Amino acid sequence: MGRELLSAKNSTVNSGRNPLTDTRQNSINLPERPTILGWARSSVGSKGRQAGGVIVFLAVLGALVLLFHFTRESAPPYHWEFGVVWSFLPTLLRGLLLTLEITVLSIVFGMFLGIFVAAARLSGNLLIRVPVTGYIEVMRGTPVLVQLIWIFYVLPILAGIKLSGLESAVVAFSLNLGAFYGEAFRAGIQSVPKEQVETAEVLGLTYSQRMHYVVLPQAARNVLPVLLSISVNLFKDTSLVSALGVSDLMFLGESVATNVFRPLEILTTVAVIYFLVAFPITILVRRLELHLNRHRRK
Amino acid sequence: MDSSVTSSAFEIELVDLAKYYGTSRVFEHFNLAVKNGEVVSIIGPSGSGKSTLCRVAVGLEPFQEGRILVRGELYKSADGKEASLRGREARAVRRELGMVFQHFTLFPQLKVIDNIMLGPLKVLGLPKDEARKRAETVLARVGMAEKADSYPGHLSGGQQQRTAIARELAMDRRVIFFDEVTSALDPELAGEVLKAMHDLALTGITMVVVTHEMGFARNVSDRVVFMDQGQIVEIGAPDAIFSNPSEPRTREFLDRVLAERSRRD
Ligand SMILES: Nc1ncnc2c1ncn2[C@@H]1O[C@H](COP(=O)(O)OP(=O)(O)O)[C@@H](O)[C@H]1O
Ligand SMILES: [Mg+2]
Repeated sequence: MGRELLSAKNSTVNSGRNPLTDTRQNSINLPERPTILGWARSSVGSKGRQAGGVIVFLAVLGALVLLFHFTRESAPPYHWEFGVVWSFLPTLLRGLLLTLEITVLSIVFGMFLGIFVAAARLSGNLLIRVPVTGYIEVMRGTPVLVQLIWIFYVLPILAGIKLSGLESAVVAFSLNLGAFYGEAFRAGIQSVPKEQVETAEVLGLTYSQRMHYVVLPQAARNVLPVLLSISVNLFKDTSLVSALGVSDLMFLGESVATNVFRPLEILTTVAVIYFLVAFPITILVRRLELHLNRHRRK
Repeated sequence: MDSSVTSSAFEIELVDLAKYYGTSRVFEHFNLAVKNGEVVSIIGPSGSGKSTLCRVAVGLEPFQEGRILVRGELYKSADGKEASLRGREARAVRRELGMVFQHFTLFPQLKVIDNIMLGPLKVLGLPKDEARKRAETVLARVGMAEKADSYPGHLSGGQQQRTAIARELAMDRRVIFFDEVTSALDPELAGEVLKAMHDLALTGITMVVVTHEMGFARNVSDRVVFMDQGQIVEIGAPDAIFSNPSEPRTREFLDRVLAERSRRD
């Protein structure tokens, strides 16, 4: 009986007729962002981990304090001067604003692109599917920093298109996200069991009604946490744009740090700012997962 | 309605059907006529084409040869050219053919009541209060009235299948195909689903039931079909099939199923 259930699930993968279920891939092939993803997945159904995250954060902070304490004994003492941070906080927050701008623009364009990527991946047409698959593999198989630099330095030479650092960043991140979002959308749609779509069809719902009432709500439930995780990762990855001279949070942090000779205070503050933005979102992801799974079997 | 003008003793007739997946044949020259209000059980080893048959009949799968008649009228033919029912009429007929699957039948994101109301609202176009009244009625019929506001994930497998049956009832089906709806259930839960199906059979709805439940096949059906490798090996009254099968293959299958059953109990 267990086998039957399994084969019923597998048939989702094998049937070659329905564009929704047509695939040569495993049905739950979520994008490979191992750390965040694995972590986000494993956090399903445990409220305690939220407290756990805070505890880990405090523990790391405590360990750092201890470390500084002991290094102070052996090495020349370092006098922490967080007072200096206050005068540069407006500068750092201006950087954060640009970081958020890059993040939001990239997410919007990436989502838009992702819809087409998912549609192409689900398409029966090889001429559409193969190139898009290639694009996804390139995006997944190369470092984001390389993609960024490539758009900024190589594109002008190859195509004669000269983009500013900011534009290059948004283009590169949008392209990157398009691949990851697209794969998430596709996986979400394919995670809906074949029987669900067929039941809806026998019920008499039209194609767009089936998508609207049956497929998309379930697909969204399955991928929303993944989309959020990808987006949080992007937020952190935007720190790479400092390599292009874009004055984001990271870039301004670095330049302030070297100018005032207080790198530890400034960079610690930068880290805390990133954390204060990202951490609530990761908590939101967990909450959302719990909420979306409320109708599932316990 | 046009379709009720032609009166035929048969609710649905599958005539000379052939179904292939690529080059592999599931069945060929397949004939089965189900009378108005009849309950036909289909038994047979797995892989013999029972599910495919249901899927072809309700229109989920195309077929390569033959035709399907509903109450004597040509509803669908393999080549599509000679189908006498088109457009609105064809859709109306199609709406009368329902199916209940073994797994994943209820929409998990919708409450029980919304699962039932979806079809009446979006397909039949009923107003909301009417759809709700209808949903409450059919839920009561399968003993699920007090679970109307539950999500499917919080129901037992038996309750889920009874809900799935209620959803078909809410659509005013004339023929319902059941594809091993109790195979994934414990005997106790299977029992309550089978009881709901038995009640349904008494109302005169036409039913085609693919099942491993020999008790149901024997006690509830009007006729039993034994299928093997895409062919009807034997068809007849339950008593004839179970007590005195004329084909050795039928006897073999029944012996094996009964032996398995007694080993499990
Ligand atoms: N989507 C499919 N693609 C290819 N072959 C299929 C498909 N579905 C069923 N078959 C084949 O058709 C035959 C009949 O299957 P099925 O109708 O599921 O049998 P049953 O329901 O009696 O177990 C089997 O040999 C099976 O492998
Ligand atoms: Mg089957």
